Amino acid sequence: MILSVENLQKNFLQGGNKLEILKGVSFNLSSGKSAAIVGKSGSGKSTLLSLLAGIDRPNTGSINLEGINLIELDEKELTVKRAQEIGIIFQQFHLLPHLKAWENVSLALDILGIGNSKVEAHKALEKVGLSERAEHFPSELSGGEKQRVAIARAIVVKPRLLLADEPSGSLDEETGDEVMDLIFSLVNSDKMAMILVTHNKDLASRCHDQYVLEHGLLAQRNN
Amino acid sequence: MNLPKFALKELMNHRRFVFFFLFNSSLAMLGLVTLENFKFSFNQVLDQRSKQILGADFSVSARRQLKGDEINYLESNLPKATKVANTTALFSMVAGTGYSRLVYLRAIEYGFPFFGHLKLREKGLYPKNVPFDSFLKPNSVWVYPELLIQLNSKVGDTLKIGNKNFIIDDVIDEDTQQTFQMGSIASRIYLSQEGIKRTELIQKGSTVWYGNYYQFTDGLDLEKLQETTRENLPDAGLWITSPKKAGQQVGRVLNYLNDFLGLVSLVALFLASVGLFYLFRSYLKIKRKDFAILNSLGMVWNDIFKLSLWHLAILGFSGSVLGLLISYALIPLTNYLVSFYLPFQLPFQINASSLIIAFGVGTVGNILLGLPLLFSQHENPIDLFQEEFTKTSKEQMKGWMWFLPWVIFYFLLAIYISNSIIIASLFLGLFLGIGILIYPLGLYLLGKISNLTSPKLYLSLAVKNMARFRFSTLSIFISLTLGAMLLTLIPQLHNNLEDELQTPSDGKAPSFFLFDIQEEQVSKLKAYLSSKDVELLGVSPMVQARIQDINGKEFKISTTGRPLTREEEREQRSRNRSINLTYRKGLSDTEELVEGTPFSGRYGGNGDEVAEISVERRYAKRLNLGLGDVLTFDVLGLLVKGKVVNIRRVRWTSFLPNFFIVFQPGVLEEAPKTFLAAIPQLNLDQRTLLPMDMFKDFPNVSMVDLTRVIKRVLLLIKQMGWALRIMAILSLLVGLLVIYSLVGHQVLDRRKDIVLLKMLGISFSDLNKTILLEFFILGFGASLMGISLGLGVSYIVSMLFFDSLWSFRPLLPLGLLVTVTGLSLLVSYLATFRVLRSRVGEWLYQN
Repeated sequence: MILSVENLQKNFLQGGNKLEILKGVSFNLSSGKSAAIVGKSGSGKSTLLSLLAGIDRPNTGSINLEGINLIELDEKELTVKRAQEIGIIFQQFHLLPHLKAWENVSLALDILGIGNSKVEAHKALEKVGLSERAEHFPSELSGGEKQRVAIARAIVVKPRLLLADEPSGSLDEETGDEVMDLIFSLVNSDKMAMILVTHNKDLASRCHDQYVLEHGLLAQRNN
Repeated sequence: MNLPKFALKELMNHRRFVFFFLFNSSLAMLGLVTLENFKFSFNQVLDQRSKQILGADFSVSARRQLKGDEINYLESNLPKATKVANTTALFSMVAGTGYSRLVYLRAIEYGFPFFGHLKLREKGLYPKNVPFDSFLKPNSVWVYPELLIQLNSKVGDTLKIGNKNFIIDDVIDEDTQQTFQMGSIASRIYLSQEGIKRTELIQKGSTVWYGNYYQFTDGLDLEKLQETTRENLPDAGLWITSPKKAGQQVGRVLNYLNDFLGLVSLVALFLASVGLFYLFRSYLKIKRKDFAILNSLGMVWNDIFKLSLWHLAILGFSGSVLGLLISYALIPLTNYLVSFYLPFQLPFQINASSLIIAFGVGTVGNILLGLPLLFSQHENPIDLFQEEFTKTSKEQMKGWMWFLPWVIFYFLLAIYISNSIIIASLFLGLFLGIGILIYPLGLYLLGKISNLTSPKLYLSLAVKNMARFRFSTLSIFISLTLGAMLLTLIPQLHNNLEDELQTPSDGKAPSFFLFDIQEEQVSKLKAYLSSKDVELLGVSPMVQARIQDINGKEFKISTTGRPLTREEEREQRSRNRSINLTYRKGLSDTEELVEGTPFSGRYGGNGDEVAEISVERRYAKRLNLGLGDVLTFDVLGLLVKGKVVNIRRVRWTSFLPNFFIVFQPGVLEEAPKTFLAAIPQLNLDQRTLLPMDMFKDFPNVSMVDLTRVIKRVLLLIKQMGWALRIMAILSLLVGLLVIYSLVGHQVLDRRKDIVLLKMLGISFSDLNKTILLEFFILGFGASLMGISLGLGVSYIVSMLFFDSLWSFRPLLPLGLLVTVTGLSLLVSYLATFRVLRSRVGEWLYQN
C-alpha cells in the first residue's frame, strides 16, 4: 500500500460559518494503481488533492505515504517529502514564465540537488514528446505543450505518487485526450500510483478505482 | 453606465489595496506638502529678514542729493507709497570724554525703519514702542554700546560731533539693519535729520549717502519696480534697492539655500511620482483580469479606459486630500517641534503653492502617470486572461511614448517649483539621460548573463530572475538608481553648503577687528598687545587699487539690465573696479591652495616684469580669471601688473582679514597703505578694558567690536543649517518610502513564482537566499551606480549653481550604500515573508 488515507476532515470558516468540506474521507491506493475522484464543482475534490499533496493541512485524520504520516511532518520535512515522492500536475500548468521548458523541468531536480539535471530534463521532455521545444519559454508554447512540460516536470523526479488535478481541463478535447493518454502511459510504464481529479466520467473509467466525493464523503464506485 | 459610481464601487471592493495606496500616496503627499510649506515659511522669514535689512520695500540712494529730474521721475512713476522717509549718512570723527573715534553717523526720520527695529536699552523697541515725543531730538543721539567704552562715556554724557554737542539719549543693543559688511559693522550713531544739519559736517565735497525709502501696500512686484526704475534712472551712481537685493547682501548663501530648497522639492516630487507609478502598476496588475471580464461582457475598451481613469482620479484626489488634511492637522505639532528644535521662529503656514502641487501631482500627475500603464493593456480580452504575454518591441516603444504627457507635466511643474527653466531642464535631462544610458547597457549585460548557470540553486535562480524579467529588473534598477542618486545629491549639496557655512569653532572667532593701522604702528601695537598677553591676528597691509585691464582688455563695469541667471547676477556685482590688495609670502591658516603653485618668493624683477598674484577662487570664477592671466592695477596712478599663479580658497567665516587678490612680497611695499588686523576672543573684562586702554596709545586705530555682529551671523548660519538639515531629512524619508513601494511591487510581481517554487519543494532557505540575493544585487548595484552619479551630478550642480563649492565626505555615500541596499533587502524580506510562510495551497487554489 503506497497511500492510506483515514478519516480526513477539513473545515473552512466562511463569513463566520463553519463549512465542512471533508467530513471523514478514507481510502487506500496501491503502488502502480490509479484512482479517479469525481464530484460536482465545490464538492471538495481540489481540497482533498491539496491535502494529499501536503500543501494544505487537514483538521483531523491521517495521510500515510509509504508508511509516513504526512500530518506529523513539519513544514520543512513535508516540503522535502513532496519534492521527492509526489508529482503534481495542475489544470493551469503553473510553469515559471521566465524559465525555458527544460529549465522548468530541471528545476525539480535542482531543488533536490540531483546532478546532471539538464540531461535528465531533456530525457523527460523527450518522453513527453517535447524535445524540440526544450529551449522555448512557456509564453512561446501552446496549452498542450505547456501541460506536457508540466507533466515532464512532475515525472522527472520519478515520484511514487502522481496527483493530477483536471490536467486536461484547460485544453481542447483532442489535445486533452493526447495529454491524458500520455499521463496514463507514463503511470503504467513508471509504475507510479496516481490520483486523478476529474469531471470526465470516461477519463475516470480509465483508472483502476473510482470514487465519488459528495457532501464531504467519499464513496467508491465500481468500475 | 455611471462610470464614476462604478469606479467607486470597484475601489470599495479592493479596500486593502485602496488603504495601502492611500496610505502611501498620502504619506508622499504629506512629505511633499510639508516640504513646500517649509520652503514657503522659510522664504517668508527670509523675505521679512530682507525687508528688515533694507528697512523698507524700496530705496533709492546715492552719494549725492537726488537731482530734480530723478525726483520728478520717482514722484510721478512710483506707486503711491504708504510711508516715505529720508536718511543721511556719513563717516565722521566723534569725541567723547577725552577720546575720539571714527563712527558711522546715520540720520533718520521718525518711523524709519518701516521694517525691523532698533532695540534701545532704555526705551525698548523703536519705532514700535517709542512715541514721537521720545524720538531723537535735534541735540540727542543713540549710540552702539561699544562706543560708550571707546569714548569713555555713558548715557546722559555729551559727545562732540562736528562743532556741536549732543547728549547720549540711549544705547542701541540691536540693529536689524546691521549686516556683516565693512561699512555696516562700523559703530553707528543715530541722530535726527535736524541733528545732522546741526553738525554742519555736510559741506561741499563731503562724502555723504542720501537714502530715500518707501513702503508700499502689499503685493507689489518689488523686483520689477526695481528693474523699471533702473531702466529709467540709469546713472550708475544711484543705488536702487529692493528687499531681495538687500537680502542678497546678507550673504550669497541665502540664494544657495533658496536654490537648494527648490532642488529638494523637485527631488521629492520626482520620488513621489515614481512611488505612485509603482503603486498604480500594482493595482492594474490586480485589475487586469477584471477588465478582461468586463470587456468580454461587452464593455467597450474606451469605457474600461475611462473607468481606469476614474480609479486613478479618485485614488489620486483622495490621496491628496488625505495628505493635505494630515499635514494641516499636523501644523500645530510641526509648529511646536519647529519652535522647540529650531533656534528661530518659523511660523509654519499653509500656502497656495502646496495646494496646487498636492492636487496637481495627486490628480493630473496621477492620471498622466497612469496613461502608459493603461495603454500598455492589451485590447484583446483573451490576452488579458492569459497568465503571461509578450510584447513586441514596437508595442514597448509605444508604451514609452505614453510617458511623454507626464514628462511635459513634470517639466512644467519643475519650472513652477524651482522658478528656473535651467534647473528644471537640467533635472529632466539628467533623468532621461540616465534612463537612456542604463537601459541599453542593462539589456546587453542581462542578455550576457541570461544563460549563466551555477551549482548553487539560489544563485542560478536569482540570476535567471533578473536576466529573464529584463524589463522589470531594469525599471526597478533605474528607479532605485535615480532614487539613490537623488538621495546622494541632497545631503551632498547640503554638505557643500554646510562647508560654506562653516563657522569658527568656539573661542576662535575674533573679538575685535582693527583697521586704519599705520605701518609704523604695527610693531608697537604687537608689542603693546603682547604685554597684555593678547596676540594680534592676521595683520595684513591693505593697498587700495583699481583694476585697469585684464589681459590687455579694458575692464568694464556693467550697470544696467536685469541679470538672467544667478551667475550673471554675481558677475555684475563683482565687476567693481575698486579693489583692496595685500601682499604676503604665502597662504594664511584660513586659506587653501586649489590650483596653481605657491609664490616663487620675493619679487625679483626691476619693475618691468610681471609680479605674481594669487586670486580667491570665487572672485576668479566671477571675473573668468585663470592661471596665467595678467591683470593691470592702478595703484594711485601707478600701473602695476600681476600674473595669476594660483587660485586659493578662503574661509571668509573666519572673520579674519582676507583679500580677493594677494601679491607676492616685493611689489606693493612702497605703495600707500594701512593695515588690518584682528584680536582674538577676549573675556568680558578684557573686552571692556582693552579698547579704553589701547586708544590712549593708538588713537587713530579704528576698532570694531565683532562680538555682536558675529553672534548675528552665526545665528543666521545656524538657522540655515537647520533648514538644510530638515529638508535633507524630509527628502530622505520620502525617498525611503518610495524605495519601499518599489521593492514591494517587485516582490508582488514574483509572488506567484515564489509559491510555485515552494510547491516544487524548494527549501525555505534556498528561496530566501534567492530573493535576498536578487534584491541585494539590484539594491547594491543600483545604489552604487546612483551614488556615483549623485556625486558626479552634485559636483556639476556645485560648479553651476553653488559657485564651485564641492566637498566630499565618504561617510555619506557609504551610509547610503548600506541603507539603500539594506532597505531593499529588508523590504523584500518583509514583503515575501507572508508568502514564504503561507501554505502553498492558499495561493494556488485561490488564484
